[in-house]
Amino acid sequence: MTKQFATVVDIAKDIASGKTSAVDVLEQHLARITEREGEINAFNLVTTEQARATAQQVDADIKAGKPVGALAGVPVALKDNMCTRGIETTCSSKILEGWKPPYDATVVTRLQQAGVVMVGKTNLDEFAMGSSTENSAFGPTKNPLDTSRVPGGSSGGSAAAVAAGFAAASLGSDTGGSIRQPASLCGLVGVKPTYGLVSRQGIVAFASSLDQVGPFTHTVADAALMMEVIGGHDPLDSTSLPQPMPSLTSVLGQGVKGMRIGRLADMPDGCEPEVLARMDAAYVALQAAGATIVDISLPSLSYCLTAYYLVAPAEASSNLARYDGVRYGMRVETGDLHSMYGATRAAGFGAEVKRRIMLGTYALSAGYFDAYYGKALKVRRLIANDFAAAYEKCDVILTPTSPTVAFPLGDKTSDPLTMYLCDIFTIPTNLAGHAAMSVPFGTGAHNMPVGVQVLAPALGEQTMFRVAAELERAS
Amino acid sequence: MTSQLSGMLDHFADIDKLDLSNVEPLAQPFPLKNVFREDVVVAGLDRDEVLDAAPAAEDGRFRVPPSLGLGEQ
Repeated sequence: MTKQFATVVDIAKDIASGKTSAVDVLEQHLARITEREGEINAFNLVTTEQARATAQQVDADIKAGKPVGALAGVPVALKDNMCTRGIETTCSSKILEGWKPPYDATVVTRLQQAGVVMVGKTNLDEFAMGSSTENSAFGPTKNPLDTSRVPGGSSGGSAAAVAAGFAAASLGSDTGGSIRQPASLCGLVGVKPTYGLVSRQGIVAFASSLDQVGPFTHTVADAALMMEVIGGHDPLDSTSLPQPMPSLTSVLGQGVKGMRIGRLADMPDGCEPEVLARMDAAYVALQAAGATIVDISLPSLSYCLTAYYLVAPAEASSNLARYDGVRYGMRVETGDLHSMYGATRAAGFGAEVKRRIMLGTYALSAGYFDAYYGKALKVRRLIANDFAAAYEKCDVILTPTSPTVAFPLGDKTSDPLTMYLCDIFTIPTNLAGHAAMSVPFGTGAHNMPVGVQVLAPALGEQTMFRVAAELERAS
Repeated sequence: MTSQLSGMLDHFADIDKLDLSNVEPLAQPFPLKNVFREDVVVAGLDRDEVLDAAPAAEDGRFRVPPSLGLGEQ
């Protein structure tokens, strides 16, 4: 459905071989931005001039016979919580409006070294807190497949940019599903790598024990290539794993023969019947390709939502303490330092961010620490134990990415808890630090895309991508 | 917002049902310990670039409103 646009693999190949030029590819994408960005609002900033300069450089290098990177000339969009030196980075928050970071995030540097052409910074729920991109201070992003519906969130702008053909790929960040859920709602591949596999240096922190960076693409092969470029150890990120980045592009054709695919025996309520029907079709497809389906259970699954919505706000309340009007971003001038802090934060943060800061501060406060944050960490252990037991019996687990297809704008904004329930299938992976990805697998209600989520244990990316590639072949 | 927050806390009471007495807390997925980089000198951030992004700066430092002595005025 969104495959009408050229893939990363094809664009890189055609530019490197001289079949097309980086400038031509860029102009095609810029033309689509001109045509549809007004109604979609995928971007906080389109970096047209820098993009043209980079594309011209790529073409000049190729003409001169210089070696170019694996993604030379590929138009890529970045979630606006990734630091880009000298280029505005806002987190879709008024408190950071106008801020130009003094350095690049490691993933940005790696993409640049691979030759990408950055087309812009994409919209998100403020500080990545949300599941619909409606919490942005700069207005919601619309789903390019049906503009009356949300693109998901929090990386909704990055998903919409790829789904609308504004960029061939994009990066998002995933703290509780913020890459996988919008990928599912926009009909894309979206990857949440193992915690520590992709550097977070230069990514504005939300919940540091959960955050990971990953790609949005049209195809599994594109996602594998993007992962190989951005992944691997970074000495600038102390949570970065020392392991080398495994090859993913080389395993895509290996199939799933003999693999054991876990199926949730106790599926939580609230899934649309069309979503469940696609899940059944996914199991049939993998079985036909030689895999075995194994029933597994995750008894703590229903408690993950509580654990997540205590742990993530607790960490956020600490991480967001840095926005104090002193070193960057907005300041509301008052007579003294203390009231300046309060006035700046009151004016700079939106409602959802304030809600989570208060929730997190409460969960960490002396009288309530044991009852909330302490208990949440123990539930986190339970889900990690559940996964460990499940992976004794299977190699990967399949679930829906989202219980529903993309919902109408405004549908879930009045009750935060309803919005939080969007994340039921994606949150456990972040709590455990494992890998997971969403693969488009047909359509559900309202002819909107359904994503199947492939979950794998920590550093199980190769197995996960083999299953994803098989699902893509069958879809 | 008060009612929303108390609604959430009511929902979060679901974990009170669990017996967690013998469960070890898990604060982060892979507790790496003593992570040090190699002891080599690298360039820091450009001071002017950092201060340019601040709401107020003076003499190479961040400038903030007064924090002391206001009570006596």
